[in-house]
Amino acid sequence: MYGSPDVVSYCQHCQRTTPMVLDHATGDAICTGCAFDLGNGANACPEPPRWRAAAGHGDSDGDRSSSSSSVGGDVSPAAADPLLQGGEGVACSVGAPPVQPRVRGAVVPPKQMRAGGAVPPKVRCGVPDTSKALAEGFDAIVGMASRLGLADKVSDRAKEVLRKLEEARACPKGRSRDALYAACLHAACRVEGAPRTLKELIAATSDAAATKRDLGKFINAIKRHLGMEERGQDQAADMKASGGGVGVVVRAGDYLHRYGSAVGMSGQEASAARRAAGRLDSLDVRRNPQSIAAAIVYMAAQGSSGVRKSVRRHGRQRVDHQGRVQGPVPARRPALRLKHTATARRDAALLNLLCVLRVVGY
Amino acid sequence: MAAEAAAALEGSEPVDLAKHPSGIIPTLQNIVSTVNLDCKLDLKAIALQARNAEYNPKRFAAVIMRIREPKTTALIFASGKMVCTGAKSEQQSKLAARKYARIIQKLGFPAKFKDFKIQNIVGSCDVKFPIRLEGLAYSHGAFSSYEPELFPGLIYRMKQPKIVLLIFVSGKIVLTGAKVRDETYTAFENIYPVLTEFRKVQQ
Repeated sequence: MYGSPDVVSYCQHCQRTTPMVLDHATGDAICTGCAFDLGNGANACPEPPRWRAAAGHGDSDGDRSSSSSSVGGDVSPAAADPLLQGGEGVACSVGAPPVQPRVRGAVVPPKQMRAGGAVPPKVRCGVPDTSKALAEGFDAIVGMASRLGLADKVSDRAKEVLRKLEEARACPKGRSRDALYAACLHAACRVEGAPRTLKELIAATSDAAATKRDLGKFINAIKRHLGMEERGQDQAADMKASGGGVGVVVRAGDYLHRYGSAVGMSGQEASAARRAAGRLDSLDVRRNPQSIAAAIVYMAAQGSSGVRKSVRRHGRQRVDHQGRVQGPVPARRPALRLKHTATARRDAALLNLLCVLRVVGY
Repeated sequence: MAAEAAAALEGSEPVDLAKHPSGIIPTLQNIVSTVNLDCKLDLKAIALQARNAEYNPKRFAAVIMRIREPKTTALIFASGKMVCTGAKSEQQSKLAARKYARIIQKLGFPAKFKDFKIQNIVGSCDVKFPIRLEGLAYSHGAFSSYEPELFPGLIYRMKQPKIVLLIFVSGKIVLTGAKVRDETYTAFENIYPVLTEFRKVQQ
């Protein structure tokens, strides 16, 4: 007679689980076995009598007949009108079941689909790009560090500098990435107290594509954005070394050790070179620290006695010069020697050193 | 004659210590100014008619014109905008710009003289003692950039006034970025005590 049930629930009246029909107009669930209304009492006032009368008349089973007869007795005076209204009720109940499942199906899935589709792409897009750029940078830095013979500590610090720049979005646009990596290594070497010249760093980039200008731009960017931390580290390093070579400005002395070992300086020559570099602050030497270091190494190598002297073309002149210098002011020999070279024999000294370095294969 | 007289007068006149406590007055070396002639220009026609003009559109999209007095160079664009460089004072820069505008008028263009503005003033001076750039760079790290491998001078970016100074070991100073003369003077008076603090003492 009436439509398929909407839900299956426990009926207190029947003392068992029975199929229920939902009255969408009032939101009530009505038991198909006893027509007992399980919804809100207040809302159910007008509807239950008609529904129960209809159910009673339509049913012919024994159990249902007993319950329906009691209900029928209650409404017997107005049998005609309830029948008509009951028929309408049946029609409504028949129409309701097909609509509900469609509505549920139509509403819920799209939301789930949207929720599922929205979040993951954003996450995927964001993370890999940054990590990919950093990974490429890290690989490049490790490669450059190995080509320059730097310790792992230095390359680790360079990676940290690169990571901070990437996070701060501080990298100048339109610049070579190789120059950026070289600048990070430059900062790391400087902080570790073993600075490298710009030419060395440029040579270590892939295909030596970076230019000094690009490198300078990135070095300034690093200073601008990470300067405070670097300075703090520099001060700490200075305190540890008690006034060692670490500083905000590269000095000729910083290059002496590597230059000296490259040309095979002895201990005596190395100490002489360091003493000469130590006196630089009192002199007004207006030259690139790289050139100064080269000149010092050259003079230290020439000044000491040894096999080299016999190979040099100017050995005798150098001896004469030393003889004259040693006489009047022996204590200030390195300073005087340096001053003399800086003013008069600068180009010759540097030229000779470059020849030596080229022969060594530096 | 006039220049010599001016130089003699300037030499004999004492420095106003109230305005220049250091006793040194930076010399203005270059003034860059802009003006709007407010009319479209046919650069090819200008280049053909004017003797002192050069125009290579493939290289630079402006006519480069020069006059002898004041000795300046102008960049004249098709939009009617003009840049005047090389003057030694604000008055000379304006005078030169007016001369260029008159040349353009004589060539048949309805040139006006709108929105003249001094864009940059470059000054220089010498403190006459060597400077320890390393100490200065360390002490004023927030404002200094000193990379002897890149550039032999220390680049000092002063915040107030907003002037960039190039400080060299020799004691020569270049000041750039000013839009009025007093900014250059103020910047130098600000930096002078710092320079004396980092004076390099010869032993």
